[in-house]
Amino acid sequence: MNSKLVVGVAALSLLLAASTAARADDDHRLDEAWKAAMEDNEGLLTPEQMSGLNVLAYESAAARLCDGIKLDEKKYAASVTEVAKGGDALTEDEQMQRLAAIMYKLGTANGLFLAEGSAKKDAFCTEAMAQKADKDSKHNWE
Amino acid sequence: MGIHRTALTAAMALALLAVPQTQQAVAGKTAQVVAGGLVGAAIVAAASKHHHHHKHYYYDDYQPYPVNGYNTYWNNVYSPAPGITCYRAQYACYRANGSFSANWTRMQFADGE
Repeated sequence: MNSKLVVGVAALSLLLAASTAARADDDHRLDEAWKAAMEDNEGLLTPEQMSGLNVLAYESAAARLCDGIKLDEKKYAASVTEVAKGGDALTEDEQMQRLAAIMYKLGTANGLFLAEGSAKKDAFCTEAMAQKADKDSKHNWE
Repeated sequence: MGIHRTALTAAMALALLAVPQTQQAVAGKTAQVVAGGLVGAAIVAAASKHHHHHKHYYYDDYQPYPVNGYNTYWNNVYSPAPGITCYRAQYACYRANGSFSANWTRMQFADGE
């Protein structure tokens, strides 16, 4: 193998390694699935509520995937109620429709986190356990 | 939010997430809502692409993104600290190893940016 070929192979290997590393950093997030789930599906919940819904979906996924993590059902139910607040000017039927849509969003996010967590369970559960162990961290786990 | 709707919301969420003992609690009202087609209509609105909820469902100061502007909106990504990436349109933050961070998500979107 001549020297130019060796250099070329080495450079290609480095590029491939860098590319793999870049993917590894971010391949836990299911980018396209999240986009497909959320596009044209905004406005029901405020940004604060949407982030809260994500956290609730994540907490449920962690409780299902990770040993040592279990939902505190009472706290969880209260947090879901808080996240779904709003729509007070709607009729009762519209409020029910709104709630159904919010529950759909919660279930969708829960499924995506289950998929992400399953893909890299060790990292996913390590993060969840660290959050649980942090006394300053709010969560709805026992 | 009325007491009945508050209880229903919590019960629906727990039923959705398969906590069995809560399922009976929602059966009565859920049956009425399902029979009226309300759940189906709501799910269609949430499930369909390019199906916007009617404007009166929006929260008060919601500002829709421009028509055909979703990609720009979706690609709005920033890093509030080394090793943390936040996605505005997802309302979520992740660590560099790819794990969702509940703490950073809460700090960035719920506790005020």
